[in-house]
Amino acid sequence: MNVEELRVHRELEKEKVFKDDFVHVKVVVENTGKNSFDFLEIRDYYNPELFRLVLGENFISTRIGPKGLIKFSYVLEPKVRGEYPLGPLSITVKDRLGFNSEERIVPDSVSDILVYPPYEDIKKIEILGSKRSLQLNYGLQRSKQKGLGSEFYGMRKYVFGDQFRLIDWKASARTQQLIVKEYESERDITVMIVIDSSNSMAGGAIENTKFEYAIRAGMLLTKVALTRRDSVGVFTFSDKKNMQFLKPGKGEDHFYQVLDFVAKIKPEGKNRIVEGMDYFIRRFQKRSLIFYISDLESPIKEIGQGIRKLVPFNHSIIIINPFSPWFEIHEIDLSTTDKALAEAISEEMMEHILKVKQDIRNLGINIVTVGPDDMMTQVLGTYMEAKKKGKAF
Amino acid sequence: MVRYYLKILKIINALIFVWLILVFLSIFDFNEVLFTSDGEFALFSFIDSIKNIFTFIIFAGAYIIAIGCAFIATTVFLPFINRDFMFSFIDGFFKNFLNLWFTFPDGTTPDLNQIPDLILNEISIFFGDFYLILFQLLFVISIIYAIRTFLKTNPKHDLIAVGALVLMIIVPLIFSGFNELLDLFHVSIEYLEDLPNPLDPSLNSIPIDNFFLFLASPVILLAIISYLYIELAFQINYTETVTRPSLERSDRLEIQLEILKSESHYITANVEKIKEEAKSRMEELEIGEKTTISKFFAKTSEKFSYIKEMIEKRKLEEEEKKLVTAASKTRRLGRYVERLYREDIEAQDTLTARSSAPRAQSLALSTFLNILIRLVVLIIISFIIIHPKWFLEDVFNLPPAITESVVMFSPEIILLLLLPIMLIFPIVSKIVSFIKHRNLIIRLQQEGRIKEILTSVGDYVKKEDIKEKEAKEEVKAEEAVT
Repeated sequence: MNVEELRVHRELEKEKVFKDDFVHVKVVVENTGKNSFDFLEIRDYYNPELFRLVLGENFISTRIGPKGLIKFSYVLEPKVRGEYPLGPLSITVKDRLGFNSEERIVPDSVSDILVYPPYEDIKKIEILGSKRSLQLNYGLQRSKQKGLGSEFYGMRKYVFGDQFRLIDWKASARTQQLIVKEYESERDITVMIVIDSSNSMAGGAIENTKFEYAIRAGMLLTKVALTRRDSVGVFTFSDKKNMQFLKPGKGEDHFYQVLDFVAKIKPEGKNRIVEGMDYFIRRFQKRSLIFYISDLESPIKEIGQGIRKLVPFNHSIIIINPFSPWFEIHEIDLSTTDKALAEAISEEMMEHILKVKQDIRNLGINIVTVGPDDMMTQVLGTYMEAKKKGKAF
Repeated sequence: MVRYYLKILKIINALIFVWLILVFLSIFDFNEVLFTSDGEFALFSFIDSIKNIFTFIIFAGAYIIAIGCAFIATTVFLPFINRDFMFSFIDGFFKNFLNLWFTFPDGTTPDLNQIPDLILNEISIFFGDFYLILFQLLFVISIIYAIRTFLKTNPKHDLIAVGALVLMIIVPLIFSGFNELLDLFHVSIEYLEDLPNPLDPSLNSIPIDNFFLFLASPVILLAIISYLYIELAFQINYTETVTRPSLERSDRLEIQLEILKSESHYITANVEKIKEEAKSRMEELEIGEKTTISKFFAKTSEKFSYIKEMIEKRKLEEEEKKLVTAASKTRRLGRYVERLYREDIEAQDTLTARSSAPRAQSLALSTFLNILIRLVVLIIISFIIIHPKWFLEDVFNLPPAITESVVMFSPEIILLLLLPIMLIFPIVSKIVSFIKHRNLIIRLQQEGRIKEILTSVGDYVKKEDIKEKEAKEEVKAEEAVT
């Protein structure tokens, strides 16, 4: 039994996948030798905390003849956003009677999979966007003020309710159906999404932490803002070691850059907002609409200092504050003591946030405290309102 | 196809077992162990001997207790009771009245002093019968395990089936050998010499000069068939072990995919229905509006327990979420699989691993070749071991003074070849294992990253090992600092 004669490799359908998507993993085993392997066991390891096996099996027991080829596959569902290894592959070869066996780990058989945040929220918005003609539009399409703008945006089919003066008669005659012209009147702005990546954001159930919600909200905001032709940049920070900056950009490609960027970030370190903002203003000064997503669990003084560092640059700042107790209660069966404790903590947290609000109220900064149920709608709503008010133009 | 192949193999093995039994019965006289020397059925005689032993024990026990009581009573009440009268009364009572409750072997009630001899006699009958019944039991065990292994593959059962038959040959040989050993010291145990020997006398004379006669002799034939049976049993086990996972996986996955295909089409309606139901329940319980952040922060008109509301909401959501998640996942997976099949034409085969199941033809060929090679090697080695003369003359070129000596005809000479041949396999195996292990360690050292990766995967390396390693490293670091 010469295991070296076996060639085993893994074929991934895709190396980048959304959290709520699936990935097809194929394992190919080839016997390059002239002898058969009477008993062969191939196992492709994956971390069950990070992936869920939804179809097929990640191992096989079989035999392989000389110059034979075997393929088996399985489907995994990523559980958590991030960049994770898949593998290694292990081969166990036994003789017919199982007296002698040899196990080998296939060298270089670890593949990395980048798991993006779930696409679910964006999909919902896209579906709503596609129902625009039914007046169910919610944000994804550019909310143009038709007729007021002067910049030509595009053409589309006429739908009931469109103004007649927008009909392009030439195009309508050519296509034998009513076509209207669309104009845009908005100015593009730069949206900076600043996310607190300190370890306090990792509280709660592993798949639904404040940080995961923050990433989802950031992704949704990016998608909507990019669709509206705004530039979007991302900055995540906790302490000195954990500061990541993605400069603002536009277009569909940039959306995937943002996805790649946020997929790799893990919540770790303490929140050093002052140092974080120092770094941010060194990298970026242009006037912009800043969404700062944080649980605000730092001392009030530090938060004030950090935010004040942004003020001289004339940014429009919106603080999205995931209210910690609402995210961190994931156990249903709480005892009376636990309930009382939870009530006390939430009261205390509320007092803290009110004090932060008090501290920065003269800066004209809005703090939007959100829970897991309304975070996405609040973030989008705030963005839409900011755009309507012409902030950060 | 593989399933049929497996069934055919099992039928062949069952036929081999029948052949084995026939050959076995040709050298084993079953009548010898079925009946006692008195012509009584051994099982009945065995039961009788047990019954007689207990009869004597109980009778003697009662007798001794009665005598003991009489002795105590006459000692205490000496002036009033005559001791001789009491003893003769008890003797008369036991022999004339109580004996009616017992059935003694020869119909007469024994005296108390005769009973130990009678018990010993019955015990010797008991062991004699037990010896005979042992063969019957072994034969029944052999048949039962052969049937069991036919119904459910398990080489252990095959080993027991053959082992029981082999034991039926070995046991008389052991006693016969022991008797011969005792003869050397001019000692004889009558009981052992009286034990019946059910083995055919031809067993002692294996024709070793002629290879074909050697093969045709019943003992060698029995050994070869036994080996063939065991070998085929292991081949069946191998075939099942190597094919069953693939077949089961294939069946299981095909069913799963079929269900997924049918379920995912009409699950959308179910998802909407579940959501609607959950929404109406939330409205009924007036949960949802209250649990907004603004309400909580405002704390104005009505005081409400935020945690209580949250938990109520979560409970409802949890139920809904489970159903919706399961339904939506099924739907998404169904769509995904449909797309996968369109984009990757071999996906269905790889998911079910249908293509990776071993083929019946290749299995049959390899099984046949394996059995043939091993059988031929086994026969040749057996012949060499049993008949070392040719080997010693032609391979080792030993002088006639040795090869023609009387020692050559002694059984001990067999050990001369048997031991090296027996030891060659484990020694070679150990050497191969050692070399492979060393090579593996060298390779793993070269691929130092593997362990780190395995650690991160967490499924392969024991966490305790890692903790221990980390603890050792910490200690080392501390020592270095101090």
